[in-house]
Amino acid sequence: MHKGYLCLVLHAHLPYVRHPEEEQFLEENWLYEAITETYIPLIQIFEKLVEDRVDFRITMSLTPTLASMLQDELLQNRYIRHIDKLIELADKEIQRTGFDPKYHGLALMYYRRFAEAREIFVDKYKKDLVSAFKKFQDLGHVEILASCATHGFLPILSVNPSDAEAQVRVGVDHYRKTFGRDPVGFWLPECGYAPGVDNFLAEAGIKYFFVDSHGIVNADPSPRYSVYAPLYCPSGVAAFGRDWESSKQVWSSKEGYPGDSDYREYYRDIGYELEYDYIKPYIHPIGFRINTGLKYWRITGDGEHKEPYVPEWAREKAAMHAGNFMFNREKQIEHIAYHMDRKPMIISPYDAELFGHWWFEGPMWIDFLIRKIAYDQKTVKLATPSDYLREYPVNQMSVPSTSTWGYKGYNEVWLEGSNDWIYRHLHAAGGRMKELAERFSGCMENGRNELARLALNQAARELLLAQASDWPFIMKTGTMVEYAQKRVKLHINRFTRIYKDMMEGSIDKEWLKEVESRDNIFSDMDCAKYYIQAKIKKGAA
Amino acid sequence: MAVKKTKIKKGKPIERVYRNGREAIVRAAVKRKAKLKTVTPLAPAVTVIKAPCAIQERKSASRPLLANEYELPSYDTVTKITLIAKDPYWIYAYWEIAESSIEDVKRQLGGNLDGTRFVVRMYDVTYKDFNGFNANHWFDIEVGRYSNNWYISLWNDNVSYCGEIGILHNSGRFFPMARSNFVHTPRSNSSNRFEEVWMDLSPEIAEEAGIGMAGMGQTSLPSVSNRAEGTVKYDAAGRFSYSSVSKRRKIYLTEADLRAYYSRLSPLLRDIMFSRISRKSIYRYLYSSMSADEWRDVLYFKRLHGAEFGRKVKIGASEFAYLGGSENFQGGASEFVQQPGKKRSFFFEIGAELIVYGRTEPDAEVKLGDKKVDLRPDGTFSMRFALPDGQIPLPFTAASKDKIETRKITTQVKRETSYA
Repeated sequence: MHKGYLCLVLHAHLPYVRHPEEEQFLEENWLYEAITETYIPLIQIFEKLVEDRVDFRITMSLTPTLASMLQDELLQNRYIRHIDKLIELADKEIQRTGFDPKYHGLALMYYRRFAEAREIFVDKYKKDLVSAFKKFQDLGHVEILASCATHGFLPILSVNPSDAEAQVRVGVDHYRKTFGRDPVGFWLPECGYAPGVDNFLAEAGIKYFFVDSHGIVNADPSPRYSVYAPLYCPSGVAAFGRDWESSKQVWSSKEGYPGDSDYREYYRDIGYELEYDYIKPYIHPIGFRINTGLKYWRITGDGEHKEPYVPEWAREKAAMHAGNFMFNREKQIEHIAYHMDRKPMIISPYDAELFGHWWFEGPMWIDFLIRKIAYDQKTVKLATPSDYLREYPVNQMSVPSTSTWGYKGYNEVWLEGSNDWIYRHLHAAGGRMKELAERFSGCMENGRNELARLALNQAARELLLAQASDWPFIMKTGTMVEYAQKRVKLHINRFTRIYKDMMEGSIDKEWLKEVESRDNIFSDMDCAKYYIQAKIKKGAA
Repeated sequence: MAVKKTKIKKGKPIERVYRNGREAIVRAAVKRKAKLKTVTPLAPAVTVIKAPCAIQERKSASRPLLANEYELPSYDTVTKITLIAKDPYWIYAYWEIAESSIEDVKRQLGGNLDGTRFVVRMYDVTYKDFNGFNANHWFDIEVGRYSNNWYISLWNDNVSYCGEIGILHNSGRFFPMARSNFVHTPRSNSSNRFEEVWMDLSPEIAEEAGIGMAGMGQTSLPSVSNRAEGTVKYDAAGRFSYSSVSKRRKIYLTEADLRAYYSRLSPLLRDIMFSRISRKSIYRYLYSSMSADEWRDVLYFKRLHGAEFGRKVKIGASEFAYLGGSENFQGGASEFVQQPGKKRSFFFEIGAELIVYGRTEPDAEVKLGDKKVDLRPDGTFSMRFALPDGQIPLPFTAASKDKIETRKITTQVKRETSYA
């Protein structure tokens, strides 16, 4: 009989990046790369597990921004163009490496992967990968979490409660629309929690969320079982805490598995390595080199010298590491269970894009781990938080501590010298949005004034897009900073123009139409209505 | 066309400003207005003006805001200050000062600002229902006229603050121009309160209360036991609830009990409890019937809670299981967007590729070894190969369309690299 549970949480998220005005847009590649390297490999693994009738439970998020992009026709078609280009490149590589056995096999491997990705994307799921994850949820293997509308960082946004509330409620309604059911769990962007945030979740019908370890450990009153059992917030929503040990084994760049010398090196890509004229059609149209996704080398060691990648060795390692991870969880659970009056649950949340994109062998590792847990031992069982709450509906009540999963554990990543300027604008725009929505709430009723309704909704969309936690994060990390700054400014400016125009009583319709077609997220939702306080309250009752 | 201001909603004089505990405080500020005339109520007093839907269509103006516009809006018509907790020991403050607020102070000082300084006054209001005068203590930070934000360091974690931007005269008189929201800084370590309250959220409770299955997602997620064959069934009641609940006394706490309990935690939490109770909760609260000490004896480690529990219960690969922030896990979903930017020290590499090209009749058939080579419409062809060290033989054959004539060309390439 098993003694405890392991809850694997994959947080799949990308910021909303869609630029119909440009034929090719570099930052859109974030999505295309993640589709090829993470989402499709995960789908392949889940399919095989279902086919082999392996028992498994995975918790994952698919944020509204990501789901919207995956369901956007323009981006879907651009992905096909992207993967076709890769197939062409891999095909050329097969010939080019014909006399070089070290790389020839790798070229063939990439060709196969790209061709499979295309088949899954186009033929199997008809361009809609969201339907794949929905299918696994409906089969009872994957539990999909809701999340904020645009990955808004709630501890800071909740200076205006209406902003935090709208982020949560738009996210939850988008979930219902996308997955055809009510969400049970919620992924707080960046695990950003402050007392009171749970209240917004409770109002939206959410039953649980996740916090970083110190969110539970520093809870008041002190938790009896540390992070190994959830706490109920006073609002009745359960908080599950991240287990630091299992996190570190995967995350840490020093001790973590992904740094193994046999694994594929992320930073060496033929886009940077091969002769310029040959690779030119596959890099940025302006001509600077970018990652193509074909990477032929393994991590090897600390030095610059890299040896060719050997897929069989990497596979061996992934199996070994999955075994090691499972063994450690068994020991951990055996030990903790002895001190508890219930089965402990170990929460291991990761960014989904770590698996496959950064850690190429990650999906394989998940596959090995799931199969080993199902067949090789009896101590640990995979479960989701709602499984756990069904088994244990009585939990300690306490108030989790303000926390995030960012560097140093608090708000510093999203609030420091490089990005603090945005909050003045976000908060001001948030206040103005509420003002607009309430002042013109009459226009939202059907047919009263269609133009005003469109303008209000677009204002809300611009505000939501400006609020993504990705922008301050990128500003802090120092790569692609300019793009993040542009995005915040652009959305704030578009918002402010609508605000001023409406206050002055007229709207430039042509302009509005163009902005609508560009920032088209949640285009079928009345986003502005989430800022009308009275209506929200009525809806909740 | 200007928007007509038709009616002013009377029932809602001041906007609810911030999530926790502040509604009451704003009201207090309003009541005090007579005494403290200089304090503008912090929320831009949003009087809800319902406008008729008189938004008109306008022809495209000259400002095409489709390209990136770099100038950001300014908000300096209203004096306003906002605080954000950055971590347990730092608060970030940003503000705007309207010219009119300065004029107001000037007037009170007799027309000029001689002998004054711009300061942010920070009030420690931990466990206080702040009325402007009852702060635990306060301190000033001189910020100058033209700065608009400041990082403020604190001595303690887990405290509540509110701030005012204002003008301080040499005489000691302070003229606040706006008051901020309230912030509560995070704890930096574990709580030393150990009393336990347990909450029961089982679906039966909901039924008991006559509310139906409003509990844990019974209908929204398939339960595991319904799913795969041969898996262990989850016992819906759970073993725990039989073995352990018997040790606990079930009681229903009153509203007052709960409020008293939570108001000791943090003043900001009172609001949460209010709204929580107003939702007619269906939860049952359990208090342990054993004394806290008895409970702790149940655990092998005496008096271990929270972080200590975590620290003692360390096993597995990790050498330490220490907590406080998670510096080791630089997470964040968007770590992914870190593009290749790995710093390289000096390096030097050489690669070699080989291009072989030729021509023949457009309808001829060319092979390299036994592999067919594609010809261009004009009969030319070229191939490109990576060239590793060693010898590469390249045996080409060409055959005319009628297979009568064949030619064979073999060329050999050798690459040899040496390092010095």
